[in-house]
Parts: sequence; C-alpha cells; structure tokens
Amino acid sequence: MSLRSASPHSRWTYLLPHLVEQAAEWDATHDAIRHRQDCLTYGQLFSRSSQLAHALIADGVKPGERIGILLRKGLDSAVALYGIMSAGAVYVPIDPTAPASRIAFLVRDCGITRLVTSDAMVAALEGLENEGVSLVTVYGVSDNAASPYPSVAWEDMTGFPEALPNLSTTEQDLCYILYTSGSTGTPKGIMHTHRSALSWAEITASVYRLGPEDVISNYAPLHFDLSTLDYFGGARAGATTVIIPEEYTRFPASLAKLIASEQMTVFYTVPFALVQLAAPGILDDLELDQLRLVLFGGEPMPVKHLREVMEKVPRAQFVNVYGPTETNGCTHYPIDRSLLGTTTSLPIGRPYPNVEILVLDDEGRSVGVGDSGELLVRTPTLMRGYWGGRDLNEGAFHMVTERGGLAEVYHRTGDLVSPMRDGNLRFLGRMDRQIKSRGNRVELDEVEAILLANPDVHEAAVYAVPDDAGILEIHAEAILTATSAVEEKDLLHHLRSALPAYAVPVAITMRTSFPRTSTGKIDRIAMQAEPNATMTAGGRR
Amino acid sequence: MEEQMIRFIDDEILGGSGHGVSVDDEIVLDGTVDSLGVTRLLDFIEESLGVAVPAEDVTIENFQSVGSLCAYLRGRAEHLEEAAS
Repeated sequence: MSLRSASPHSRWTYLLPHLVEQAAEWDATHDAIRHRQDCLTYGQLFSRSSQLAHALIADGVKPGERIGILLRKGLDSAVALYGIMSAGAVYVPIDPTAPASRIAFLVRDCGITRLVTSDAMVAALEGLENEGVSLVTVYGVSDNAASPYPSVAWEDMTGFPEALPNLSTTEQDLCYILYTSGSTGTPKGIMHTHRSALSWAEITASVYRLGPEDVISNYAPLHFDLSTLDYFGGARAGATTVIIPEEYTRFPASLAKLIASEQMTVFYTVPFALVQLAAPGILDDLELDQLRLVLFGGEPMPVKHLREVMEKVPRAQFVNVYGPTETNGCTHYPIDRSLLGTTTSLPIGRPYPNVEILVLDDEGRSVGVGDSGELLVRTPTLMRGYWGGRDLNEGAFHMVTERGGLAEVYHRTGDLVSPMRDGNLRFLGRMDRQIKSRGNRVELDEVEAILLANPDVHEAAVYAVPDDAGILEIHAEAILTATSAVEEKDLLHHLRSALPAYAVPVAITMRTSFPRTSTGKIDRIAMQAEPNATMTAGGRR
Repeated sequence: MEEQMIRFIDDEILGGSGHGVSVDDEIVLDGTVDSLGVTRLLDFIEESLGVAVPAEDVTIENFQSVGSLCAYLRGRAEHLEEAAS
C-alpha cells in the first residue's frame, strides 16, 4: 500500500467507468456508495457493474443503445449506471414515482427496450404493459417476481467477468440522457457524453478539493442532474457517496441527524432542503464539525434562510451552484460570510475554470454592468444536444465568431442575468415560462394545457408565486364549464394522473372570470401579483 | 385517535380513492404520505387534536405509521401535562 500514488487517478481516464476502475485499483476496500445499512466498496462496485455490462452485451446490447433505470434510490442504482455505461450503452434514469403514461412516453421517445429495475417495480412494469409498451428484457428482477417482461436476476449475472469489457467507446460517445419537460409541452432528453460528464467531475473534484476522505451526500434522485456531481465527482476523488433515502427528504429533522451520523463532509442539495433545515430545533445539538462544504443549486436560494442555516453550521463553506442541466454547471458563488449581512439576493457568481460566458442583449451585443441579457456559455461540460430534436438544437446552440475569425459553440441558457460591478453575475429569471420549483424544472404552460384538457375546465391559468420562504410554488386558477360540479380535489386528482408530483399545483382556485390584458389575454402577471388569499396548502413555515 | 387519523388519511390525503390504511402500514416508506401529506397531517393534528408538533419531532420514526404517530402524540401530551403541573 505504501507504493500507491497520492491520487487515485494517475492514469488516463476518458470514460466514466474508468473512474471506478481506478478507484478500485487504488483501494478496493474503500467505501464507494452507502445506503441505509448497506455498502458497496469500490472493488464491489467495479465487479458488480462490470458483470452487469457483460450480461448486457451477452444479451445483445449494442453500443449507444439507451437503457432505462427504473429504480428507487439504492445501491443497485450505482451498479446500474456504471454497468450500462461499461457496456458502451447510455443510461436513462426514469422517475420511479411518475405516472405510467409519462414513463411510457419516455421509453418510446428514447427508443428504450431494456430496463434495469427491481422486484419492487413490478407494479410499474405492469402499468407499462397496460400502456402497450413492449420490452426485450428487464434486469434486476428475480424469477418469482411475476414480471410481465422477460427478466434477468442479479444472481444470474455473478458468473460474468469482473473487469471492463473491451469496447470501442470513445469520450465523444453518449453516456446518459436526462429528461426534463420541454417548452412544447413534451419532455426533452438532454444528451451528455463521457467527455462532458467527465469534465464536470474533474472541475468539481478540483475546485472543491474532493478527496478519498470525503463523504458526499446524494440528495437528488438519478433523474435530477445534481446526482452527477455526487456520483462522478465523488468517484473521481475516490470518495464515499452516501445515498440519502427518499423519505429523509420529507423529514428535515431526520435528514439533519443522518448528515451528522454519516459524518458527511460535503452536502449538495436544493435550496428548499436548506430552508427546511433552517427551521428552529432541526440543526441544534448536532455534531456537524466535519461538514466542510454545503453546495446548493437548482433554483434561487432565499438569503434570509441561508443566513439562518449558515449560523448553525459555522465551519462550512457555502456555495451557490448555477448551471442548466444542458451544461452540468456554469458558475458558482462561494459565499463570503462577512458580506452576507448586506446582501438581499444571492449572486450566481463567476464561471468555473475552463468555462467562458457571454451576456448578450437582444441584438447580440455584450451588456455592461447593471444591464441585463441572456447568459451564453462555452464549456467542455456542455451537452451533445437534445435527443431526437434537431430543430431544438438550433435554439440551444449559438455560434459566436470572435478570436481569429473562428466560430465557437455557445449554449443559450435562456436565463436572464446581469453582470455586477465586482465581476459576479446576478440571476434575474427564466426568459420563458419555464420555472424551477423545489429544484425541479416545470413548464407552466404544460401544466396549464393538462388542466385545460379536463372536460369540466373552461379556462385555466397556471403561474408561480414565491411562498413566505421565497420558494416558488405553482398555483392554478380555473373557470369551470357552466354545468360542471367538480371540486378542487377532482382537478388535482386529474393533474396527478398526468404529471410528476412536483409539477402539480399546491392549490386550484375556482373563479368566474380572469383578469385580462388589453388584448384580451389572461393576465397571469396580475394573478401572480395578487395570489388568492384563501390558499391553504404549502404555506407552513 | 387512530381511527380519526386513518379517516383523515383515507379521505383527505388519499382523496377517497385509496385502498385504506391500517394502523401498522408504513405510510412514509410506501409513499402514502408525501411531503405535502406531512404538512397536511401536521395541520390536521394541530387543528383537530390540538397538539403542535415541534419541528425536531417531525421524524421518520414518529411518522412511520398511524400507530407510531399516535404513540408519539400521547407521549407528547403527557410530557406537556407534566411540564404544566
């Protein structure tokens, strides 16, 4: 052991599975992933994911094939994502709590014919079969689980080699696709390559000085892009990643105790979770000296609550992380405690190393300090494009010809920002009606369209309002048809059957008329300014 | 208390469409009570049972089933009575 190098990564790493291979070579017994009482060392993670890869290839999986991961958070998720990539295939995480119709859409849209899943998901598989989805094989399902599709159990894979298969995969090939909702009302798949994901892992491991002694939280589910730092930044550093079980995200007092008992050193989460942890009594009397870094991103963080939580974790560096899923990450703002007292809104900071930004007005000219414009980003962490959507790609990418007449590819974030005097950027909002609520991307127009699709609804309007804590909440208002007798709960039930839980409005207010603009359009801005006072849900704390 | 709480979960949280919960069902782990469900349950406990649950007691252990929640609430009521006398 004395001969091992100072870093787990002394050799060439160009595919994500190499991260695990090299961490295992460095110290196979070091904990890679923990979940509840269970653990996978880097040696075990490498063996199991390699066996899955061989099993997939033996079953006919081709390079570039998309394979879905339909799992609740757990150790198998880690095995699945590395196993799929080790087979030269592309992993597509699917929200296991989504309605069957949404899962079916995603499976069809992405051309998925195989899933890594579990016995616990058999009901969801039956839902898919009812939707008319045909699958070739599901993996991780035992023989007696009554799967509607041909299945391969984990036990069936133990005979395969415990080393990476020989592949022609390059760093330019796709490694995962993350789905969000799209502005046309249908979700779109954001395609990342080994290079773009590995660049993000390298940037974060370096900037945040991640090392083997670090214990990194995995708060976000796999289909949420925060998870890529937890898994790949962690593996790049040979660190331990602790998967936070889903129910802990609903119980901040339990989450706080888990952070302490697991001795987490890096906690990466959404602002909403920090707002919850800031509540009185939650972080008191806990031993949190080991927590050195608190990263948060996904939506704006209310400064008032940030101050509260920072006072309770006096030794940690807090960092506001910004970047659309298309870019993994763009800018960050490490918070200077001495300046926080005077700030009302939190900057998104400056670009990471190896990232270049432009802020352009409508005419494509760079804007000055205090002015606003769209943020454009040039970065090695940039996506390849949107799955199956060439037309969408044209809007997402923008060629800028500057140095030496060479055209460079920038990503148009669609976010409005303003350069500050000190060189940081301030975030002003989305340019369209796409919002982030509790870290999840929601298209308000999509929610509206689904509400309006209900035959009892005559007109509908959906908008976002910050609650007392500054977190965006989705509200809806509806005008019913003359003969209708439906109630709020019926409409909420209708929305829940078609949308993920985070996209369902906290309340629907029935009205007889809407405020209108001069051109007769529904005036959602007026609604936003005067949200209905009778709304009850979600206002607590 | 158990019956009252079960009725609330069945009618208000599951919207009457549910299968009906029992005292020992793992309502947190099985997803019956989601994050909004926790908030509504807390409101119900405060309004109908007159008990305010402090944030540090809103834990997985206390909320894992109707049985555990009622046991916690009885203990909480005793604790408050002792403190008051």
